[in-house]
Amino acid sequence: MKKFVIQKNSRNILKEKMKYKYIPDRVFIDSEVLYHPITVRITNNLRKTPYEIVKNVKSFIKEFNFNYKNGKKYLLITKQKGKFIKPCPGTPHYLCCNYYIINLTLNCPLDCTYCILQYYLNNPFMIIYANIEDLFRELDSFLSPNKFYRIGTGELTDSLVFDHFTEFSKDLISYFANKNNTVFELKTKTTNIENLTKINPNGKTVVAWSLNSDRIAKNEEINAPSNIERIKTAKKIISYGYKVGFHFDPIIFYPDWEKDYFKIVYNIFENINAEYIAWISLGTLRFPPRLKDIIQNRFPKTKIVYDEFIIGLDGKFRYFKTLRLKIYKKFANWIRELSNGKVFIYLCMESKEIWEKILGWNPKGKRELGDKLCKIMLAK
Amino acid sequence: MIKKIISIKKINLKDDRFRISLCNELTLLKFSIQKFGLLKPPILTRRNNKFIIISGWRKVLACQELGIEKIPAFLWNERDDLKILLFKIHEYLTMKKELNFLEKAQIISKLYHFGMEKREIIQNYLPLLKISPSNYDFETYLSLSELSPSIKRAILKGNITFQGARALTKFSLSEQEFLLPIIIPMSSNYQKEFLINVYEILKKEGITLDELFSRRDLKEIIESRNFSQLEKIEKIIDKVRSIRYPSYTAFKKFFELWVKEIKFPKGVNILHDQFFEEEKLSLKIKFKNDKELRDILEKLEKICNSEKFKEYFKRKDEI
Repeated sequence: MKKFVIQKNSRNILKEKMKYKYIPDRVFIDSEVLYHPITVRITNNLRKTPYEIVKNVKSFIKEFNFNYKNGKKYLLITKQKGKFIKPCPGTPHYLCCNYYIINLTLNCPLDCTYCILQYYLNNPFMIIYANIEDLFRELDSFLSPNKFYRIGTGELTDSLVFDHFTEFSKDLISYFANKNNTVFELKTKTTNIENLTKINPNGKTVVAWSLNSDRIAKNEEINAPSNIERIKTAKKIISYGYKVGFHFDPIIFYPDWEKDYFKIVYNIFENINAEYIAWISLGTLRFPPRLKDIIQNRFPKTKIVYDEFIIGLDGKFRYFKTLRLKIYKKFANWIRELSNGKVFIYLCMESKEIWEKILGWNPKGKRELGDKLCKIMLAK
Repeated sequence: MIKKIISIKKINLKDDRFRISLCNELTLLKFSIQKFGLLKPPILTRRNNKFIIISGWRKVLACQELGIEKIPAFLWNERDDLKILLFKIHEYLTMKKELNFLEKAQIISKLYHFGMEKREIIQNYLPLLKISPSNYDFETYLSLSELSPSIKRAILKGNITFQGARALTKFSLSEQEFLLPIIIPMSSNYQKEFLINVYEILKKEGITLDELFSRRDLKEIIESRNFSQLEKIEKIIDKVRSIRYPSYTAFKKFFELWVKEIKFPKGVNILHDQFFEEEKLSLKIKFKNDKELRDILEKLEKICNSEKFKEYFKRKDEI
């Protein structure tokens, strides 16, 4: 296999491209899925991108000169040999929302400084699993008609960042449109919604945007569109029958945080009627200690890891409790006031104590919260 | 390799490209040379009309200090530096039982600067040095090799541990020199914590080390004549910690003051988790018989009804 020269200023080049849509520099195709319809679809959509066929994916990844940043430019189409669906791992001692994750694509070219993928993923490629038929088979046997499910694709990737060439949104939204007890969520920071406008979600899909303050979006969410672009895109997708959600996660503390974040919360309700918002989640910055070193090495200019973190009960860094309470209280009050209490708020990976103090209740367990979120969405 | 008698003057002692050990302790070696002579001659090679040492640095230095002008040495006529270095490393690894982390750092740095690919070092040499084969560890050891000479000397004397040294790599050479006298009296755990706190304050506030230590509160501690050296160090550690963690420090003080003011009965301890993350506090009672326990419980009941006791629970979220 040829070795590629690492381009200088690759981040700038990537940023330029991302202003439009992510296009990889090169596509590697696992020979096992060379003639798969999804592979054909992707290569047709990426006609100008050179590709190479890889015979042994395992040894190819092992031999590839590992560089996380550099890897953002390379796409690997391969076959998922394990399970596609996994429960969100949550974190010990803090409440989880009973979310299920579909791993149909892995990794993300947006390159946010705080991204957990830098810690989770052990190879640098943007990975697309072509065998979507196996996912649908797995979903058919996994989903029970007697339970509620919230399921989404945005945990180990951005749900829509590759959608202009994978077109997976069309397959997935169509599948879930017929499921009465399942809410499908696409989580994104992009404005990549063209394919979504061609499908009727039948009230079963929520498109959710991660939002942050403008300062954090500009400095820490390196290749992502601005907040206002994200909110305007959310406004647009509502007219196609979708409900929307917003995730303020991670909320990052800095001296002017209050003024900056209020502006974004205000922007939401200025643009979007609360009736169309399925939920807003809140979560302050938290990360495993090892990620701190990775962030420091990859992004020496960022200051986000230098605020007042303590080691939480799950062994991860999180802001000191009084600071978290202060932040959540503000957000909850803003959202309640601006939506007249019409929007459901939940906290991501927080303790029962904080739930109780901020929202006035706490779920008995993850099942209760998960079911509640599903019912709220399906009733909208 | 041929054995020759060489004048020490013809050895370029400034060229330490093959030197791994930085230990300059020569007392025992000099004693041995005086008593038995130079039993194993050093190995040299020639560069730019002078000899340079491949192995046997301390032997050459000991002989020089003893005033010996000529010594026996093996000469290796090899032009490839990397080949010599690899020989030296393998010789070193078979001879020494346990390498210290600075020697490991020297080996990694030399391999890298002699042109060996990072990947090869990580895969083949880190495991040989009993280091996990990761990019992270490679970078850590590379930066350890770049510490200032006085820091390296302090490490060799056992005054700075691996964790402390690693934390020091984030500072410039002049900053390392500035911090050295402050951290030497600290125990190893405090060295690491203190250095990380200092570094993170500088990064967060965008100030220099000079600016941080010119702060009035820190300056007062440093310049005070009322404290012993050890007391000063403790106060500096505490002050830096409170600058780095203002909310946590304020809360801890609030809690400690509350416990002090409540005056819990003897044998009673109020406990919290390290960072007050858990909602609940715990109570530990030591007693020797039923009467003592009853006395304690009576006092505790009175305490529970006091306004002072309730104040903590009312105010704790606002601190």
